[in-house]
Amino acid sequence: MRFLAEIIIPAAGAVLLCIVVFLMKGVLSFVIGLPVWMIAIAGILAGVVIFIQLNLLTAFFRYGREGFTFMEARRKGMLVICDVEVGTNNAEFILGEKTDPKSPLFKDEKSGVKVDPSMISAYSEPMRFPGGLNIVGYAYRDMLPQTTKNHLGVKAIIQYFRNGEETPDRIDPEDKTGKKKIVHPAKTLAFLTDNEKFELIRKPEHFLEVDLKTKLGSYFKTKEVTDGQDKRVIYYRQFQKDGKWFEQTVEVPELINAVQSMKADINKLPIAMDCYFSMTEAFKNNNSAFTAQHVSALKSLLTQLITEDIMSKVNLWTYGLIGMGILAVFFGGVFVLIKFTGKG
Amino acid sequence: MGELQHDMDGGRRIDRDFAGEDIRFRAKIISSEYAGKCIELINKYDLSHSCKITLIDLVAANFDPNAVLARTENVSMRIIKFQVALIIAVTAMDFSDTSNPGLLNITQSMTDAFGDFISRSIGGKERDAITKIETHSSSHYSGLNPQPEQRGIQLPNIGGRRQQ
Repeated sequence: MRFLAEIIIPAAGAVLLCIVVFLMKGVLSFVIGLPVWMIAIAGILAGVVIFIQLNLLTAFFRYGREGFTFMEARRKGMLVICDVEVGTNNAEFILGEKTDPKSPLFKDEKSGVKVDPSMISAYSEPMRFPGGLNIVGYAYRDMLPQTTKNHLGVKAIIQYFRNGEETPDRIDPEDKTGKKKIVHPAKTLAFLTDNEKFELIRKPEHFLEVDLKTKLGSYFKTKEVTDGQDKRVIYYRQFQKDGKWFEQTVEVPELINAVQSMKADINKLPIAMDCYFSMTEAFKNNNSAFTAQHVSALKSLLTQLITEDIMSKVNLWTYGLIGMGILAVFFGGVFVLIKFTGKG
Repeated sequence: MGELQHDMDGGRRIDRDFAGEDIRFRAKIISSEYAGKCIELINKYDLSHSCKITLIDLVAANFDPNAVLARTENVSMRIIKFQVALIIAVTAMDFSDTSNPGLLNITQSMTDAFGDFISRSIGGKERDAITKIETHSSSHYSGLNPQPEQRGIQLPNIGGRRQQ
C-alpha cells in the first residue's frame, strides 16, 4: 500500500502530466510563449510539491489526527483531556477548551461535565510532555481526572488485597494455647468484591457496623447462637469447593476489626513507583457514585428551572392587553390625524 | 346550634367527637400516607447507612404537611427542585447504592408520589380552605353566627335592606 501510494501513484501522475503537456504543446507554447520542456518540468515540479503536501496532510488526518489537538494545545497553552471509556478501553484526546479562562468547567460536555483539576486541587499534576504539552486522564463517568499517582495508589491497594488473600495464617505469638491464629484482614474480607472493600475503607467508623451488616446480607444467612446466657447472631454460608461442601461463619466484630486494620495498613502503604499501571483499571475501581452524568443532569434540570421561572413571570394576558392598548392608541391616532387633516 | 349534645348512654360529647373527626380528616388531607410507607421500604432495601439517612431526610422534608400548606405557584418547578435534591443526594451514596435497581425504583416512585402530593398546594388553595373552615368552625363553636358563604356574583346592595 505504501509503495502504491508513494511511488506508483506519483509516477503515474507525472507520466500523465507529460502526456497532457506533449499533446497540448502547440497550444501551450503559443499561449505562454515558453519552450514546451520548460512548461513540462515546471508542471511536474508543481505536481510533485502539491502531491507531497497532500500526501502528508492525508497521512496526518489518517494516522496522526491527535497531532492537531497537541499542536493546538501547545500553541494556546491548554490542557489535553484523555477521555477513556472504561468498558471498551477506547480513548480519545480532546482539547481542554473553556468558555472563560477562569471557568472551572471545560467546554466539551459530550460525555458529561468535566472539571479542570488545576482550578480546584493542588494535587492534580497532569502528565507533562516536552514542549509544554499537558495531558490529564478522565474516565467517561468521572468529572474529575485521576493522576498517575492515583493510578499507582489504586494498584498498590489492589495488590495489598491480592497479597493478603494469599498470605498463610500464622499462630499468634502472644497466645499461650498456641491455637489462636492471625488471619490477614484482606483474607477475612475475601468474600467481598474490590469495590465493596474500597467502599468500606472510606466509611466513617460509626457507619461501619451497619454497612457491614448490609453487605453481609448479600452473601450470608443469619442464625442466633446461645453461648451460656449470651445470645449472639452469627452469619454463615455454605459453599462448594473441590467437590466438598464447606460452611463459613463470620461475626460482625471480627469483620469490623479486619476493616479497621486494613484501613490502618493502607494508610501506611507506599505508592509503588516502579511498576506499570493501567489507567482503565484505576478508573474501574473508582467507586465514587456521583458521576459526570449526574452533573450534566443537574445542569439541565437547573436550566429547566430557570426557564420555568422566566415563563411563570411572563403573564401573557397582561402583555396581550398592553399590546392591544398600544395598537388601539396607534390606530386611534391615525384615524384622528386623517380626520382632522382631511386627507384620504 | 351552639349547644352541647350528649350521647344518650355514655354521656360523651358527640360534638367533640365530630370535632376530633374533623381535625383527623384535615390532618389526613395535609399529610401523606406514602411518606411512612416509603421510609419503611427504604429501611428494607440493601442500601448503605448514609444513603438511607439521606433518602429518609428527603422524604421527611418534602412530604411534610407544610409542603401542602405552602403557596406553590408552579408544581412542575417544585418537582424539578425535588429532582435536583435527589441528584444532590447521590453525593452521600456509594457506588453499590447507585448500582442497586431498588434505588432507581424508589426514587421514581418518590418523584411521582411527590407530584401528586404537592399538586394540592397550587396557589395555596389547601391552606385557604383550611383557614376558612377553621374560622367558620371557631366562630360557630364560640356562639357567633357566621355569614353563610355566598356564591355567584355579588351585586352591591344599594338602597335595599341588608339581608339577615
